[in-house]
Amino acid sequence: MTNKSQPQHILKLSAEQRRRFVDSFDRVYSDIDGVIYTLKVNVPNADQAYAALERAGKQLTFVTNNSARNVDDTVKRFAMANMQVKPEQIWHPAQTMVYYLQSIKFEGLIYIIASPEFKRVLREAGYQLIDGPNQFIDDTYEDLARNIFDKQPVRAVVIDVDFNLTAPKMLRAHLYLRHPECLLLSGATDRLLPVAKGVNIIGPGAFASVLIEASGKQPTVLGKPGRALGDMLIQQHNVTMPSRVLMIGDMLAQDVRFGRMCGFQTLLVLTGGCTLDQLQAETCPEHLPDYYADSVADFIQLLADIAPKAHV
Amino acid sequence: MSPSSPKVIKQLSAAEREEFFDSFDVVFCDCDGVVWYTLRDFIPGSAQAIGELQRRGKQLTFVTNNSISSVEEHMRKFAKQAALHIDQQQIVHPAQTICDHLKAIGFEGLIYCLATPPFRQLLCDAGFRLTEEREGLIIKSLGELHEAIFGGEPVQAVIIDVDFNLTATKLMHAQFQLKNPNCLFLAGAADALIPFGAGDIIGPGAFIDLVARSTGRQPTVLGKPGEALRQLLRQHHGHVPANRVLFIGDSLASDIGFARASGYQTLLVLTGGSSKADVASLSPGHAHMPDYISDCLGDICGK
Repeated sequence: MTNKSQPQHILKLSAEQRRRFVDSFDRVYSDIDGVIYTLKVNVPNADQAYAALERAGKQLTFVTNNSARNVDDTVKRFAMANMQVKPEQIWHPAQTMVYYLQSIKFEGLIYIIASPEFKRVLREAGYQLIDGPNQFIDDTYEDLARNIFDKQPVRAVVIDVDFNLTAPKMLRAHLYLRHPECLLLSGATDRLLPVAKGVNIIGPGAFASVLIEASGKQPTVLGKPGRALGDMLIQQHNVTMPSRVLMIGDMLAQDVRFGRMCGFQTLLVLTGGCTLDQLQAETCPEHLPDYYADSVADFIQLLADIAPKAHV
Repeated sequence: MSPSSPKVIKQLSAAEREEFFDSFDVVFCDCDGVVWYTLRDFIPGSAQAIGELQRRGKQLTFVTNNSISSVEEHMRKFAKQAALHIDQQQIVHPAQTICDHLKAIGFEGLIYCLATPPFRQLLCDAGFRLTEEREGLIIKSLGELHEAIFGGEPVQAVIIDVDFNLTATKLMHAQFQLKNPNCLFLAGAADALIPFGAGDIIGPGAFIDLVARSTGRQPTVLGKPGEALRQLLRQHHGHVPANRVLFIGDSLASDIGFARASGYQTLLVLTGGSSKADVASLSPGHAHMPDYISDCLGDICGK
């Protein structure tokens, strides 16, 4: 392995380097939003890139922080991008949270701050959820007290994206976390969410941080870059050599950090939440990818160039 | 210099008590949890203690973070104690200090204000223009989300204090408005945690900090434990040196830590948000360690 301090563009590698790169991984974990499609637009030719990776024998799994779409809808959205994927190829925080809760044999009441879709996944897996308040409260401490103090035996607080998050919900979650056995579980970690070019809104990670700091509890993170997510993926796929996994994503603090933490190789694509300028300005070693590409579609050329030799 | 453990007021000898009183000329005193129980009645003995401080000629100012009660309500509460005469000028209150600040800088723009109705009313009464409350808690579509975050008029100031109905979209709208570098960022009460019931609840400081981190901007904080308030209090005691100021409060972080950073002497009373165990858990020399401690404010009168 060469000692790469700066990320290398995959199409600027020499022929020999390209072949070695392609031979260096068997499995791809790929982000979805900003890599394959954004809200409404598909990344041009992404479908062909993944098809080429599959033909080259790479196992594909899609690991997203977006639970707003359930697995079935995500399969349908992939179809619109001309890609056929199986439900088990898709990992999103709600589903990962179910796997995690099953793995620790969790039994108990859950207080949840998340989207309706996220809640549905947990309910369908048999978990008992409470939430709220889901209406405005009076502007008094008396009404606040009525809405946040609760004696139900909540043993886990779950936080992910909730566009209807309120201060009383946060205060209530914090009170449940006072119980020494109450777990804190979080999904997506993004402190800022890119919604358009140069436009970021406050992300779920910022709200989760409020609970972490107020409660002093370390969360179990089931989104990227969560250690628990990495452990489950590695276990599920019997990954024995993490360095033979390539993590592809568009976010430095989520995808690249996650990949590096798990010992995977990392590739940043510039079709989503990170620009070339931002990549070049990044100084945190944990956020620096091994490789980058303008788009995942760069794999089409990369694999075409080496295909004849690779199959001799 | 930091005390390794606080002196207990009740255990002071008569001579030590006189020394204590002689060691300060100015008193800053919190209200909730010190003078009265939070949002309730006077704590027994506190009216006599305030009378004693006045009798001894101390310059007394009340520094509250509670803008749910107006300055007038604070005045009415003091007025019920026949022996006490507290002037409106003696109350430092976040809504009022923000209002004074806006007047001092000749502010004339539109304000996005995340605070309680009495706080908003105070600014309106002073002639400032606030955006309408943006209601509609239940966001059902990305279109509604977009409108909630990016809709509405541009404002020239964002103010955050206690808002019982603070929402994610309000904070996102604040973040969006603060992308304009000319938009002011002001905050009132900034406690990270507030004592409430048997423990602490998350305070406005956590949400102010969230917006600060998301925007990379630091607010002008005119409530405890803000730097702008620190400057303002410094003007209050003018030529009196900091070590001749006594700060009395019930919160280790918002009162004692804040006051010690200004070089004031500190007295923690145990009638509010902090317990003996909280003090005992501080390491010697901790920045929140008070100089003095008492079960209640009335203890300073002695028996």
